[in-house]
Amino acid sequence: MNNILVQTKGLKVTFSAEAGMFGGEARVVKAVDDVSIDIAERETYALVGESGCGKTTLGRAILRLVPTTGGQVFFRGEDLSSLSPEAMRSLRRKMQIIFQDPYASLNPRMRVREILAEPFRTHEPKMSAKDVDERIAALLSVVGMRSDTMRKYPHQFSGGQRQRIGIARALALNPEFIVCDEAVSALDVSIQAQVLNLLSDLQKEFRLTYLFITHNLSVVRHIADKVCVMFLGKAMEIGDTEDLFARPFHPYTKFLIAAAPVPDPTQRDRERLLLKGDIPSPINLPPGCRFSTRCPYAQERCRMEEPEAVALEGRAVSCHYPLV
Amino acid sequence: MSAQETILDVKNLRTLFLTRKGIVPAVDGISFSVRKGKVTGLVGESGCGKSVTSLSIMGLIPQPPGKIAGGEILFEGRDLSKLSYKEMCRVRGKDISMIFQEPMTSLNPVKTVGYQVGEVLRIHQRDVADAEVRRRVVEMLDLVGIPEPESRVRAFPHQLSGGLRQRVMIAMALICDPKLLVADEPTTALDVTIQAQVLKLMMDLQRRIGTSIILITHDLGVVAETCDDVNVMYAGSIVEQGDVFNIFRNPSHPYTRGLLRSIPDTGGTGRKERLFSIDGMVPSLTDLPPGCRFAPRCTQARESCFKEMPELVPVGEGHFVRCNRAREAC
Repeated sequence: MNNILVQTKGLKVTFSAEAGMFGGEARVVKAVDDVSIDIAERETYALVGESGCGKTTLGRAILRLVPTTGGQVFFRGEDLSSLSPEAMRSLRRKMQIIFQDPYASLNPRMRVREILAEPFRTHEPKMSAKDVDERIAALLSVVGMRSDTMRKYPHQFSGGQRQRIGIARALALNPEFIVCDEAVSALDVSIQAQVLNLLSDLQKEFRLTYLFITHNLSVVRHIADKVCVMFLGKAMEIGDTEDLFARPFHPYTKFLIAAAPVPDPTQRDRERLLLKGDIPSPINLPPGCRFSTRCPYAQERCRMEEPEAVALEGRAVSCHYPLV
Repeated sequence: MSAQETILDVKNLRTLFLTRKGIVPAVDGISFSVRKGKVTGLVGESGCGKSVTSLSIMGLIPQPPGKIAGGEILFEGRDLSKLSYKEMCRVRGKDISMIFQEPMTSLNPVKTVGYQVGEVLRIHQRDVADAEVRRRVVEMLDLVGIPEPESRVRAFPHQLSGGLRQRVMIAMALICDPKLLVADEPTTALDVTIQAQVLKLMMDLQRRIGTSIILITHDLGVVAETCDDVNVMYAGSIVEQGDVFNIFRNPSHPYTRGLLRSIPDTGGTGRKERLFSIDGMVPSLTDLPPGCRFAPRCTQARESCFKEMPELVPVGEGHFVRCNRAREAC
């Protein structure tokens, strides 16, 4: 159970914002800045954070869908950057992704059959059309859809059904690892519950490992074994879900949890922890700790010196003054 | 609810859209009131008609294909749905204003935010001097918590973050001291820490200015934090109506109960257990089932539920439910 399936070591992804039409300096955005995470086999690992924190980029960098500028990604101990293009291609069947927007991630001009046949055509070109159809029918039943779905186009389905088609596509080649990038964020709450249940059933049935990327903390708390809280490209705190929610060590984690609205009106008069200010621009990161401009506990040192991740009661915390 | 003074009474409102597939009754005979100085929530999932309700109140339904086919929207006794375009223009932005969901697309990208906030004032109070407009705009930006308001009046929307843009929208909506504010998913596009700031700002301003608010949202957490009265909508009609504490403590419609139970547990006790989910999906508005619209998904539906549409019946003080089985012990 504790075998590490996916690992990143000091992973970095930078995007350069090129000098514009009117000149000006070329600037660099560190979307993922020195992130190291270990994802164990068959667990659900959550990346949480607000927009621009780099969670989606990290997920894509692990799948090598965006180029990295530093650090390494390992899959079963194998460094992905050392693989030949052919070896990487065949490894891709083990690593899949479910996208956020079920409206944008299915080609509107393809029927469901063609959408689901693509993985087989790419990776199993010799498979007969009849076998492909059988596999597609099986996939559709696994995600709870009827097999007459095959003949239809994406626009004929609701958001929840489209997301099921996206899940079927990700499952097509019996993957071991699936990145779920905000996979339920676009769905209504009653449909979100259906899809979350489906994902956890599939995890048990096919022994899947999930990297679950989301901004929704109640979903994280429900589904994840481990959590990495990100802020502006950096991992602020990594730990076991229950533990981290019960006793956040990083001030950002604490404020993020406190900011989520509570669906219980009797608690509305509780004392509220509110962060001041906005998320700083990732282009002009403040010196020192990148959270220091918003952190109510920040001291002189926080504004000067960037904190390293330190191990603390089984967690990794990047803070000079953790809330222990 | 009726004992107190109301500012808005929506009575049996029906808003239709004429499409190629037929008539879509997006809002199908809903009635609710907004109490003066209170926050009234319209909650529901996509397509339940909550946004169409708000656009109907604002007179912003595109006609055609839309049409207000019946009912009354009584604002301080005046039926807004019967006003002429010109008369409605005098109400909109002054007595009733609106905050839209998307702070990115609802501001004009080629005008400064100061100009856009001031525009409302110039339209409704033509004799105000420029210097006075500027003073009021700066004051308003300051009130909604925009740092350095004197220089920010000259900023363009793209120079501001999502949270600041939404604050500009709020400033624009509140500058003429409206009596009613319609906020359509005002924090949905914002990050959670920014959402908490903006919600607090809205509640603080509401208490200070005494504006009544209609809050449209799909987020039951936001409802629990902010609303006084709640209307739960499903497929174009109101299925449950009542005081926020009643709705959360004693949800009486199977749909409301299902929605509340589908929220992943934030208390942390139910981890890894299966979430409660409502099977099936929202019916198409062009092909509504006869009888109760929720019946095909309802675990407690009986034969009678599929035959006739239930009435909104009281189950407690100021607490109404559209369910045949509401009076049974649930």
